[in-house]
Amino acid sequence: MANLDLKASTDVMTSVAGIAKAVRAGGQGAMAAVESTLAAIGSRDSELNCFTTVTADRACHRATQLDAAMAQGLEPGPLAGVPFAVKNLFDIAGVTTLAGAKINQENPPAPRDATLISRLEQAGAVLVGALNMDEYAYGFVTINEHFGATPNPLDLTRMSGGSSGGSAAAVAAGLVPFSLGSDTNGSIRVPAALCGIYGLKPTYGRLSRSGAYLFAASFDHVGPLARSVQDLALVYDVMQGPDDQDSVCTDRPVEPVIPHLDAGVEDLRMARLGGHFDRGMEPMVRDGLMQVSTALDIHDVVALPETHRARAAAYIITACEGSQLHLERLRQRPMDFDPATRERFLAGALIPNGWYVQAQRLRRWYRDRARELFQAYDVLIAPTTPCVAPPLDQTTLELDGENFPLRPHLGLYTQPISFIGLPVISVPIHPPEQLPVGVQLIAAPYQEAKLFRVAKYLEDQGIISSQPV
Amino acid sequence: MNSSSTPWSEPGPVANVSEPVKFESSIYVDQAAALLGLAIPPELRSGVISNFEQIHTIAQPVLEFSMAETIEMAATFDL
Repeated sequence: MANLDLKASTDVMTSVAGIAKAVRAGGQGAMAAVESTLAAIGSRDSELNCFTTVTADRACHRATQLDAAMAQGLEPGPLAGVPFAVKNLFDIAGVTTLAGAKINQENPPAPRDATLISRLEQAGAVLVGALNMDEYAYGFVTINEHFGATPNPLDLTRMSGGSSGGSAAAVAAGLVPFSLGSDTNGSIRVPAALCGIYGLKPTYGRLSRSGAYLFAASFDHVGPLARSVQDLALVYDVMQGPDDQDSVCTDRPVEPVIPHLDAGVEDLRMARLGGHFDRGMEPMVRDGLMQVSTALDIHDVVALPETHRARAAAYIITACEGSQLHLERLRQRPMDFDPATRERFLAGALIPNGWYVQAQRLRRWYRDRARELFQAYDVLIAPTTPCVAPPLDQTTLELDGENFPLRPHLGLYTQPISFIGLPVISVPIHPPEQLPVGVQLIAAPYQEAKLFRVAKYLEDQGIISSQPV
Repeated sequence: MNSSSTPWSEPGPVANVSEPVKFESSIYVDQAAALLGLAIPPELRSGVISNFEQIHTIAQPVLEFSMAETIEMAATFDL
């Protein structure tokens, strides 16, 4: 293995910024970083089950190119030699895009990379593989009939969350310093919270979804997961930009967040969401939420009205759009779907169109209520999940003396926010000897920079952090 | 095609639409699935009916919510 001084600390070994800095220092850095990552995957992934594909040859080839370019004095990019992996719904040239489905194994390999993979590699990052997920992203647990469960690296008897569970677990375990996931109703934020890392769901349309296998197009977002605010920002900034291959991708210019990270929070007006977002959580979740609230000196509690209807509407739209996407496969081979999804998909196909239209109209109404709130506030906070990572075999959740089916309930607080496309960072609060919880930082559309400022402030204050496994 | 077999050419019993019809989820699921060409495997039928009943329940707060006719579907998400 090539020589690289990446042994200094766990932080350096698992941070985007640390690896890029070490690689840019010279020598055969990119190859060393890739070999180190591949070795870690080889030794630990049989237990963690994060990866469904490891693109070792491609990664080594790319690292060789990077090292050769640096040897010639060429600029390798801000993510030089940084290994990363993607949820297996992103197209990787030459690899079949699984989207967590056995059915998709029969598809031909993708002809090209997803837009975001291309942008990351143009910035010097090195793709090392594809990560496990719930089938067709329809779940919050990453317990997949075909590809197995991805347990939580913090406690292997517990869930990693989903549907981007492989993406969260691989980062939490330190196998890769960052990953990409997708979020339709909470699928980046839920696993980020349960695994104790950072997850960004940007504004709907901010990042290109081209080359990502969709689930419910009205709500589908893509975004990064990482172990520090700076890492999340570094990755986010290089992925921004218009893409005419994605019909909902914004034409707005790139708005880098790195220059704003240390701007502080003094001029930001902040509040905690009440009502729906203030009920039905475990005490540890409330403790974490209140720690963040206190650290930000938040005194106002505000309501987004009719949130229970918003969540219900998100459910209807998701079921309709997801089922329509898979209608032909449901006709031809329903038994090849995961038992966790097939009856839901079949039932969703039968929803009357009037219900869908009403749900979409309610989305507009709810969006307008959020707009009104953002006239008075810049950033809102809310819990990410109602509980810490549940045991893998848990099926119900008891909160305030009432029992709920666990799986859909993990999206209790995330679903209403993605319903109207707002940008969110889920930040980790990880008390010693306890499981982590997540808090959502929420802003108006295209105001991601404010979220990064708040997250960086909280991190600098020692309130939030991602603890090494 | 034998025109005498088309359903619209054969006057049949006329439903009394003024009387409310009790919704039967199992009948709806079977009929809607047939309309869409979805052959629901027998071993999944009860699960699909159960899931549709859940969706029906979840949908009620959405369907009951009164909004002005001018509220269109949301197309953009900006300030």
